[in-house]
Amino acid sequence: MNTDTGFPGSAVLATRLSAVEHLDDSDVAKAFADGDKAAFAEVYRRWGAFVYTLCARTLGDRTEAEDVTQQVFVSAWRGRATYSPEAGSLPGWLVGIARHRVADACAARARRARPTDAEPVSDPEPSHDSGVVERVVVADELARLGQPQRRILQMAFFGDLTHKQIAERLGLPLGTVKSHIRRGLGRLRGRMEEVDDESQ
Amino acid sequence: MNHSDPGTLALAALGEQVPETDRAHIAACPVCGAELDQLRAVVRAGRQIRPEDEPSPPPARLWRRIADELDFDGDLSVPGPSESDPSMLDPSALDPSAPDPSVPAEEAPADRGAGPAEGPEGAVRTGGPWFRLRKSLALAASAAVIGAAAGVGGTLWATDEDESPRARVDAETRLDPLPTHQAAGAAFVDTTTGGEAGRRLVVRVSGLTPQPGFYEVWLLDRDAKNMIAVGILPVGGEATFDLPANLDLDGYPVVDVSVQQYNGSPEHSGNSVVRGTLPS
Repeated sequence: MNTDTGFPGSAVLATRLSAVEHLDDSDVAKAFADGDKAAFAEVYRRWGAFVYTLCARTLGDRTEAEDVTQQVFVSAWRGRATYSPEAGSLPGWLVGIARHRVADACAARARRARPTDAEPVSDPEPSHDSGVVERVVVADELARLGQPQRRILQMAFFGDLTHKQIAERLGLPLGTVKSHIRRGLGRLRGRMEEVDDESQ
Repeated sequence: MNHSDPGTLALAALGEQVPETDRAHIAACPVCGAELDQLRAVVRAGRQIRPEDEPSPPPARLWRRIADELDFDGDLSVPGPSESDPSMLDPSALDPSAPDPSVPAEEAPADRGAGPAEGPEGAVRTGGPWFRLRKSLALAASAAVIGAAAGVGGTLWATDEDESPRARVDAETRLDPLPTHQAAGAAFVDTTTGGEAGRRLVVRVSGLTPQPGFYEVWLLDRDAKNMIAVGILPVGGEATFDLPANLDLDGYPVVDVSVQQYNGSPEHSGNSVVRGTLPS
C-alpha cells in the first residue's frame, strides 16, 4: 500500500461518492487523516449511523444524540491529526470520541438538573447498562457482513439454530456454514476488541 | 494434543455440542480457554442485541449541520443516507423459507414451501422478548412471502375460510417496516360483497408492540401529502375497515400505519410503523 500519495479516490469522491464504495475502510481512514474533506464525507457516510445509534442508545434521547453526533464528527475532523491509522481502526477511534462527548453531555445534563448544587457532579458517566456499547458495535458489524454469512449468524443468534439446522434450512454444506460462523464471529470479535482497546 | 480447531471453538461458543476430546482439551488449555471466553462474549452481546441497538441513520440534515459548523464549501457532496442495510430490519433475513439469492435454487431445501404455521422445530433454547419478536417476525414474513406467491387472500387470510366466503382480493400489498421499526404485514382490498360499495380494507400487521398511544391506519396519496384517517388498528394487528363508495383508491394507494398519541390531535403523528402501496 502506498502511504504517501494522495487519496486515490479523492477527485471521484468529490463528485460521485457512490463510485468509491469499493474503497477499503483503511484507505478512506488514511485519506481522512491526511485531511481529505471528501474522505471525511465518506467517513460520515460509512460510520454516521453507527455513531448516531451509539449516542442514541447511551444517551437515551435522539435529539441529544443528534447534537452529540455532530460534536463527535466535528471533533473528529478538527482532531484528525491525532488519528493514527497504525494505532487502531477509525470506528474504534470514533467510539473513543463518542464516549467522551456522551460523558460531557451527561455531565451537562446533571448540572442542568441541579443548577444550585455547587458540588461537582460525582459521576458524570452515563448510567447506561454496560453492555450497550458492545451490543451496538456487534449489531453494526453484523449489518456489514455479507451474505450468507450475516444470515447464518442471525439464525445462530436469534433463531438459536445449530449449524446443522442452518445448513439444512439454507441448503448449504455443513462445512460452509461452520466456516461462515467461524469467520463471522471472528469479525465481530475484531470490532469488539477495537472498542475495548479504546476504552482503556 | 493439538489445539482445538477454530471452527469447533466457534461452535462451542454458540453453545453447541463439541466432541469430548475437544471439551477436555479446552478445559485444560489456557490458550483455547481464553479464545473460547472471547468468542462467548461476542455471542453473548450478539444474542442480547435489541432492535434499538441496530444501526439507524441520523436525520438527513445532520451532515449539513456538520459541514456548516466546519465551514465546508457548498460544493462538497452531501453523503446520502449511509447505506444502512435494510436486511437487519428485513424480517425475511431470519426466515429460512424466504428465497435467498445466494442459495442456488437446486439446493433449496425440500420444505421451502411449507406454511408459516410450521415453526422452526427445536429452535427455542433461550429467548427474551426480543427473540420472540424476531420469531413472530419471521413467521409474518414467511406468511407474506407465501401470500404474495399464492395470492394473499387465499393463504394469509385463510384462517376462517370454512365459515366465511373467501375474500375477493381487488388489490394487495405487503406492509414493510419503516426504518427503526420491526413490524411487518400486508393489506388488501376485499370486494367479497360485490360492487364498489362493498369494498373493505383488510389490514394485518405482526410485531406491533403496546404503546402509550395507539395505532392508526391511513391511506396516503403517493406524495404522502394528503391522507385519510381510516381507523384504529388494535395492537393485535388485525382490522377490517369499510371504504366509502366514492373513495378513489388510485388517488390514495398508500396504506400506512402510524403510532398516535392521546393528545387530541387528529393529525398524522409522522411516526409511521409500516407502509405499502396498493397497485392501481
